[in-house]
Amino acid sequence: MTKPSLAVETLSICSGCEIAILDLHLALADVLDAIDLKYIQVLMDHREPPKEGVTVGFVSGGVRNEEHLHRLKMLRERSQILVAFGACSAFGGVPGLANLHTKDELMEEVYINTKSTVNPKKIIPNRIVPPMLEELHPVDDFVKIDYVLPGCPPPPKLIAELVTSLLEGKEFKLEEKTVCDQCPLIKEEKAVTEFKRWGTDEVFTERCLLEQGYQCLGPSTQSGCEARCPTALSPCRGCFGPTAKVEDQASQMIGAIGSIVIQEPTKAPDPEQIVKEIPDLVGTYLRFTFAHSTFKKAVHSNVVKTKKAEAKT
Amino acid sequence: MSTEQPKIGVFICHCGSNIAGVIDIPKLVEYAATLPHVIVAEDYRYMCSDPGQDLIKERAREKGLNRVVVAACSPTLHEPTFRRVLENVGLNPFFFDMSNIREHCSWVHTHEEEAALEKAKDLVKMAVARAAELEPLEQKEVDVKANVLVVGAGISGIQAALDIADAGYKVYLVEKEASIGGHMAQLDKTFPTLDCSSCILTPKMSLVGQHPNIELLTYSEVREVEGFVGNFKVKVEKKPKYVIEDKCTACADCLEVCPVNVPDEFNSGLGWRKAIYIPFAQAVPNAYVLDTDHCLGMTPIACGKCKDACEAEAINYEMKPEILELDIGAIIVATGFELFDAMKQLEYGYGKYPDVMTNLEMERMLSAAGPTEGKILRPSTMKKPKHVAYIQCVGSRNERYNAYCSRVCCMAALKQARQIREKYPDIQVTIFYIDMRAFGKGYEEFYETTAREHGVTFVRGRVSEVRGSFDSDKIVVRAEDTFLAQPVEAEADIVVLSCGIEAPKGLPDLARVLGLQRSADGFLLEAHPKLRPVETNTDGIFIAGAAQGPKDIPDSVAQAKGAAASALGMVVAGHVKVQPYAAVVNEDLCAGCGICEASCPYDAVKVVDDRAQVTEAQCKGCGTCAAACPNQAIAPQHFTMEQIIAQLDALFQEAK
Repeated sequence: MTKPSLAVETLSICSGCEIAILDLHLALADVLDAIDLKYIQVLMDHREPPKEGVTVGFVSGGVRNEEHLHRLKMLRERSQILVAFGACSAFGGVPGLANLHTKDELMEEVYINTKSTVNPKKIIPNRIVPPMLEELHPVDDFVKIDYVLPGCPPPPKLIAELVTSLLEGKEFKLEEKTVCDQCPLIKEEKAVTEFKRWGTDEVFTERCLLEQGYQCLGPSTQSGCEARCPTALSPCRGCFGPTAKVEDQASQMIGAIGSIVIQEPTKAPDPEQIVKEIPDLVGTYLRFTFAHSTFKKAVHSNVVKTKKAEAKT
Repeated sequence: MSTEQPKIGVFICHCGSNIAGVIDIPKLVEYAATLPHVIVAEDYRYMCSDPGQDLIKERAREKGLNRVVVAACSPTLHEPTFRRVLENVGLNPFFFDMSNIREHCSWVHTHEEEAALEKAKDLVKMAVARAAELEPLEQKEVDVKANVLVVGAGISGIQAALDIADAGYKVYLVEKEASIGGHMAQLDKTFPTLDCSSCILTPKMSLVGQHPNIELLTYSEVREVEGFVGNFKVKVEKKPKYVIEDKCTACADCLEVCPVNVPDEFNSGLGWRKAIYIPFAQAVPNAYVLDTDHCLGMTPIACGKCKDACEAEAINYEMKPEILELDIGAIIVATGFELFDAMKQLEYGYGKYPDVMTNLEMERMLSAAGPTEGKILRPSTMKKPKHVAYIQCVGSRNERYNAYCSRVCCMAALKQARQIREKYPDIQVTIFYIDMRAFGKGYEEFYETTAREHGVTFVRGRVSEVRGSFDSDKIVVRAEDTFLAQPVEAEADIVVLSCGIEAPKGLPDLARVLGLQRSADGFLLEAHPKLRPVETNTDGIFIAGAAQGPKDIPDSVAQAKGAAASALGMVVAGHVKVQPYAAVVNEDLCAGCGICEASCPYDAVKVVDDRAQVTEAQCKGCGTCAAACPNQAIAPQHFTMEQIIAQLDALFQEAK
């Protein structure tokens, strides 16, 4: 019997997800025994997945240019099962925050405006390189995805679980609970008087970080990571994205935040004040999922510009 | 979702011309008939009338309807009516939805007939979409403990307690002061009948003291309330009085030896009392209390004189606060009011000029049992005044303090003016007012008589300033007489400020303990301003008297009797129906983060063993938790996310 084969395609990404596969350590030996690894750019010198196809394709990274799109479609065609591997491919990830600006703004910023750039003729490269798309897309904007393994990067333990269940022909499904479920910190009372920025004040061990006033996205983030960040007393940034039940992670979290703030006893909280305490709203609530959220992209980049101008004054 | 296919009947009400006068009913009926799952769409002049209800029943039987939508008025009015109709034809009463095309359409869009029709179509469309997603629900019953807790023992609390106790049910009456009686005990006479206030109050007070069904807890405060309708767990703190009530004979031996003099609260600070004292002569319980804030110290080294003097050995310096835990069926809150602090309104010189006093201070002065034994004296000279000026609406009807009318000050001023004129016809009385509000039974007549037969002068105009005269010891009151349209100045010997009524400073805390809401004026919020005036939004908790808003004695007593009757209704029945709206937790989704617990205004959700749990009887189905839950793991049963999304989908369908 032939072994099931695996191809890993890398799109707009930092390659951290591929490294996470290597992070399986000794378990990797078992995996490689069971699987025929056909294509993975960080390890092998192949240009594309094999033409005869593979059993499982992992795609990591979002789709930023036409080459990414081409490669994504090719992998979809050549794999029986396609897995969105990591936050970037599933939700756009951190690169998705670039959707706050239009493509032209980004080009101008990178090739003309940055301080270290010397480009007197103001040339924006448009030949030889693959053309940029207007925005960054999560992969499910273009192809059907069979499984999603979120995380930045996905925890090795989950990778092993996914691979094992695929080998055994079982369904792989994350429990539809949120990070709090696995979080060991003690929850007493959710009554936040003010929000603090991470690193600006002391952190009490053992107590729920949100209750301490830090923006921990645990309550609205898909579980499965074993609450790695809060366990290390660092607030959850939400790299596992929303649970399947939730339409929009940010609006859910903002709804939750609004109902636990008590600035002054007996008075309704002042939303303006809450917003002031959270300097980067999009970066806080949609750090990994902006490209996959209800808003997805800046429709009028002017909005962002005016906000910036306001912030400066 | 039940498996049978929804068969929806839509019934559209004309409400006479209320709806039909604006909305084109035939067009709306025609439209409703086209909606998915709708097999009957009809209209009638008054859907809530018996023939209207019969129409629904008939069609339901004929066509085998399993869902009903009525487009008419507000569900708060007629949802129960139509639910009964469904019950009558053997349908689950929760297979019903109502769209409000009267308040939301015809009444507010009277001059936009086209737009009103379009909006009505949208509302009906959404109701139909939700109806298809409705689930059958069961109403549950919970037992009610056979007793009532009354908080506050002013006239409202006393009346409510007596009514319940007389009906044969146990009452716990909690009062934070040492004696019951409240503000009414401080009054000399009451308007408009000029009854002696204590003569009508003290018999009730002594009844309360002796009633076998009333357990009186004075000098006590409610600290904690948990549980839900019929089954409240209440913690009451009994503060130490340092005097054993049963042993104290009220002989006053301790008074003679106590070296401390304290301004007497009962006399609004016009007289003195000792650190060990009895609040007033008719106090119930009639026993002394030791005020530790002013006592020199309860040890023989510091003082200890009262203990030595007490032959009955009633004084015990070792007393500790006690916490009583009570299981309560229903709660009546009758915490009354506080007088507006006249110091806040600087321009009236209260606190600066000794002859500027509050209406309550004047009341004490008028009382034969008061500090002056009923004589009117200028505080600065202790001589009889020649001219007393009243300033109305101090702290009331004023954007800077309280926007509302305090309702009792006009009549109180008229009453005092009349008392002064009757006692001393040579004292001139002037009342500066914005407008006289004499609205109760017999009040206008009282006003007329006071003005005509008792020679009280009235000046219409808000007083701008009160200051000392430059060339005499009089006080000058400046105002604009709006009848004459010119400024007036009057020299008075005494200025009485008709201070308004405010919510007590402790009310926000108590409201939080009880889980009650307050209205913008700071008083407790009733469930409905007209139809449910003594109920609150928390089942099993009722309000009476000035705790709900400024009230005079007749209104307070009436409301107290209403609250007592409502509480009794629940207690006598022994059980109460709970609407099956309670939120349910999806344990597969709940991670136990506790956000729902923090957001619940009714304390109905608790996280137990890392999962949220809802106490059904306490939950009102408001949906706050559903909005707050970041994983949609909790939702009220009658407004599920599926139902809301169905409504939204229906609304935005065409826009797509």
